[in-house]
Amino acid sequence: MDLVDPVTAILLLAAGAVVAVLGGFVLTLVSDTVRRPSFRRLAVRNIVRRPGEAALVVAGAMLGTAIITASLIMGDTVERSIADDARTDLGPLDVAVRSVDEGRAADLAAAWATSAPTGITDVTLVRSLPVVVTVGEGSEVRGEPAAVLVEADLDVLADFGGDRSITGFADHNQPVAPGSVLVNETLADDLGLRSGDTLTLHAVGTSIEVTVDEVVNRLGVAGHGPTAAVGFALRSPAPIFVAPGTIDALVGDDAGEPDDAGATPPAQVLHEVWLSTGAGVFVDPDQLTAAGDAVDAAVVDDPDLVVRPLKANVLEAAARNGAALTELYASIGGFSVLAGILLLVNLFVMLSEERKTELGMLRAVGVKRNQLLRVFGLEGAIYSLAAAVLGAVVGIAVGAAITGVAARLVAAEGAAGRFELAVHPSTLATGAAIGLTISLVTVLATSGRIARLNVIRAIRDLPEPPRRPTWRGTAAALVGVGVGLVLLAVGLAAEAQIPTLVGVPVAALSAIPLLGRRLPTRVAIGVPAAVALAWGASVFALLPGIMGDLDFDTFVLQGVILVAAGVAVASVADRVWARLARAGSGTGVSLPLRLGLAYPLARRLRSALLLAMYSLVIFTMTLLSLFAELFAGQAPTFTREVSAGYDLYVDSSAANPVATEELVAIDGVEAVATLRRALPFWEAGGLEAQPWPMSGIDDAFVARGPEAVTRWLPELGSRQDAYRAVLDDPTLVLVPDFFLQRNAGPPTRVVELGDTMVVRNTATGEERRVVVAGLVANDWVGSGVLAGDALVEELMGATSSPNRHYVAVAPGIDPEAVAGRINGTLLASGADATTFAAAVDRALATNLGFFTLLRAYLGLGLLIGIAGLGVVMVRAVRERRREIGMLRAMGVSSRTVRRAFLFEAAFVSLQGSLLGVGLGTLVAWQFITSTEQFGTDNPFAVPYAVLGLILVVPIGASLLATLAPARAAARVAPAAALRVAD
Amino acid sequence: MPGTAPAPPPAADTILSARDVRKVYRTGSQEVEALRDVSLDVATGDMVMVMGPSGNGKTTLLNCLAGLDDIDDGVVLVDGDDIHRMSDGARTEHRAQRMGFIFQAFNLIPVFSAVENVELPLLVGDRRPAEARRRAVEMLERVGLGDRLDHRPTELSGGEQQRVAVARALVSEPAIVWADEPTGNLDSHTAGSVLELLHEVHDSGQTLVVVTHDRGIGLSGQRLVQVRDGTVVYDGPPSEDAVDRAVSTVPG
Repeated sequence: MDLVDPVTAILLLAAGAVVAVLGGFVLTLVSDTVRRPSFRRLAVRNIVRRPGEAALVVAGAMLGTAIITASLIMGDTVERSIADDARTDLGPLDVAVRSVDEGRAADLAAAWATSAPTGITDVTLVRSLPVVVTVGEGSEVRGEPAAVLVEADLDVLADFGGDRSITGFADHNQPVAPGSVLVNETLADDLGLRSGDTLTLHAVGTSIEVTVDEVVNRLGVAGHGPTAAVGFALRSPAPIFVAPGTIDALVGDDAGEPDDAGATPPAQVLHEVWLSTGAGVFVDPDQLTAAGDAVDAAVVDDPDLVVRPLKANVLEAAARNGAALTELYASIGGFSVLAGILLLVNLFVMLSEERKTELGMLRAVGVKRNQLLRVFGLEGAIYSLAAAVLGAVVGIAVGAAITGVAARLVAAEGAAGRFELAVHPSTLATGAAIGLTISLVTVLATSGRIARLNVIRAIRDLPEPPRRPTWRGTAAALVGVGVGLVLLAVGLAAEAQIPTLVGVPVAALSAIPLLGRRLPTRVAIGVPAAVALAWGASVFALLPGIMGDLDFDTFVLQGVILVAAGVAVASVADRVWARLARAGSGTGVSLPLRLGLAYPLARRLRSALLLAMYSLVIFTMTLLSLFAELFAGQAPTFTREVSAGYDLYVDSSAANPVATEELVAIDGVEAVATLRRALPFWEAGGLEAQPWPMSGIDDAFVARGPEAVTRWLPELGSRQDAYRAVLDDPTLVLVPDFFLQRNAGPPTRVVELGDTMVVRNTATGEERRVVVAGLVANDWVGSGVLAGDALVEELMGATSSPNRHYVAVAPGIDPEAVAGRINGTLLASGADATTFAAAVDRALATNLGFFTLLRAYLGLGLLIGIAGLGVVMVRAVRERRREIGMLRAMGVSSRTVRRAFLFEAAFVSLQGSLLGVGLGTLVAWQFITSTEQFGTDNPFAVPYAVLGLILVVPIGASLLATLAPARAAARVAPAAALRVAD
Repeated sequence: MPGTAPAPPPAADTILSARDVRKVYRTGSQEVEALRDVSLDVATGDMVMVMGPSGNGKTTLLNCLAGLDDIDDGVVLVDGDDIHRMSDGARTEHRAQRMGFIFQAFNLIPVFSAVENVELPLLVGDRRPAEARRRAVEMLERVGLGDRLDHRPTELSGGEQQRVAVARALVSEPAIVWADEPTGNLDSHTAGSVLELLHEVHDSGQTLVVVTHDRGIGLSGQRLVQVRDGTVVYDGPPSEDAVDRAVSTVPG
């Protein structure tokens, strides 16, 4: 049963209804602004009369918009930074057709030069070869393991696509002379190259020396190095443009001198036909698709040719990752936005209660209900509009701050490309529009509540009596209970997470009005809320089959349910708090404590709004912190899992890989396992075929007891047996947790144990069906799918390379020292040795950096909570002025009044913090111990220091935020507060 | 006129003595002299009715004599203490120990129950909570609200709320009770019962200063002080004529 469509349909219907109601509301307000000067005056009067308070409301309402806008800006920035690769690495190059057969590629280029597929304007033939580059001598030698020689007609490339300014060769007019090369600025910067410098190019066991003729910009085709089909690199290979014949000089019959040692695997010369649509860098996606389809159609059924839609891939990845980042930040920010909405509701409720008498008088002198709603609505709309504009502007600042930090993290990870702030005008408009919509809905709801006030009670400032049950309310409650139960049943039947999760809480909370007819309010609210809380907290453990792999939306929803239910339980537990306050009697704090607790305990709705605002943010902060702590503490476990019993791994040039014997000969090396690497395409999990790395393992790999497999087919026996089975059986593979995942975020498994997948060599068209024999956790060194060496070699042939080695060092030897020796000795093969501990530390540091970034982002929510409490307290002082005056008249000291306000703030923030930390810890514990999101066998250790900090810092900050209003309360002059006309 | 004569020095049983009290309200550049050289003595056990038309300074006089508001000139002695020479803290403590207040708008703390409102002055005075609760219950029973102890102000009628306010003003056995229009928000029947309560309190020896413009209340006191344009224009027995003049808006 497919639940997505009905749910989406319901959401769309609800959104449509909101838009319709809101549209009508806005049109009415606009009409009133133009045609009803009296309404306009009434609405504006309070803003002008109390500019400070108006500013507070706008500031509170603005924060939500800022968070939404910042999320969107993060998406823009990521999209722009990835899309920028199209400018720096492709330029006019849109599609490449690859072949390992030189003749086939040349024929194709010749044929298309006269009659290209529809939409293609430029065609050129390019040869390439992966090489290792070194420069300097002796201890000064520097190298780049991932470079690629490119042989092409530079005159053609300079004009490729019809726009010289985007090719990167605009200023280059001469062909490259034999023995000379052109390098781009990236490689030149990395190796410190200038014109005239001598480079050594190493490939397949031979090397030649060349001279740098010129350094060109990294732009367009001058930045494009055709990727060798082995392994995944964070950086695309640096292109080195060479004269025709240079590649043959390295790998042909007249190849140069063999290196002293090394294997001589088959050459990996690639022949590509580069195609351009002539539409510039950022081509319209439809045009790209059409051109790609035309090229596909032209090469269909030719197994020797592989079409690579380079531009479309880059632009699609940009859009996809931008959207993923927006979603991630919007989800995390969603808690803060919710907190912002609660603050806004609270502010408007306070505003309406403060104005009650005034609004009652307006009603008394003949202002109709709907007119009152419109006047108050107009005032709220003015606040909302100001907040939306201000929020969008502040959102840019927040986005800039986050982008700055993210850029440093990305740079630390070693990724290429720029990461600069990008703000689309449409993003600002969208952020402001979403913020405005949220504010207007809040305003509309609050205004509606105000318009219902009873004139006499409003004028005399009397509380509204409890509402009597109506048949409509009863019917709505019954429908709510029914809907909840249906959702639960559907969720269980379809094994769908969201209906399963929300079913019980919806039914329980809908039952409150029904229970309220028979039971005391505390019981009628407390029991269903406790049921919802218990369900939300235990559903993982109760239904691991359904809730096992929690997705992010479900996680957000669970947080909201738990916090809402927790707040409801806390709000009816007032007697417990009152008793505790009385227990403090006789101490110096007893009177301020009683005064401080009296208001939040008596005004449950407002306290609940404040509490929910606070707890939501603390809840999320707790979760993020616990996950970050878990990661930080897992370095030894991750290292053990990823290392397979070895100490370091050595990657080397696919074209000129390190030989196992070379490593064994290094001082301190005890054992070496060789992994044959390749990048085949996979069809799995119903997804279209995608590339993912694959590594062939050998006996040595299995020998030292690898532990990364967390689950395996039971019939295979032990963990070691699972590895052994994969080694021996070419139909079995081990799949890592991020397999085929294209977005950032937690792993989302696309295959399960026992699933069958198709793995294909796109160069030859050969394919195999393989079975998922085991699932691997934490593939942080990117080995990809593990298979027997025989399968990889047989299927991938020349497009694979034994260029990764796991190395174990002898007891007592420092792995870092051995890594240094390997890098120094095997430079010609581009050897890059890294200890597993260092690789894990680096990966952890990046992950933790992003957690920190998310926490900082969430800090905005905390700011809402803290500032919100301060704002509410400012208003509370105004609202309670007369009562403060009476207390002062009775002899209550100004110190006691001040302390009462501080106790009140401490009470709310302590409750909120305890609730948030408690629920956050509970969910984190379940998330970590009951699901595989963060691997299995993860011990859950409570980081008391971190939790203590989360408890203490917000409470302290809240007290600081309350200090000013508390002082203002203490300064209230009794006679002025009590004064009535004589 | 009787009120124009200089006030004699305070007698030995005088609980309140005010001399040449002056109070000016300042709003921007505007100054309004609300009290002009007011002198007044109140003996222990007195029940003084302060009357006068609206806006002539009755409440200001009460606020200044009780130390709720500052004065610009003069001296106010309560039980021999010059309250306007005290720090704010000392004056507040003095109020807690020596004074009780009843206001027209009741001014009960809405989030406290009746008994919690009444025990508040005792807690302010550092009485033990159990003792405070016992005395608050006794006081509420005395004002006829023994069955409404746990009701919040919004659950009580206007008369009941004012009875709670009276109980709160009396519970700490203050030297003097100030009442500002205690029946102003009540219907005549309820006002009558509250007035009866105030007389009972007075009969038990309590000093009361009551600001009112209710003719009936004015006549029921021992002494009438008429305030007009910020000065005391009459201080004497509450005769029919004096009370009529006090409530009249026409000077005379």
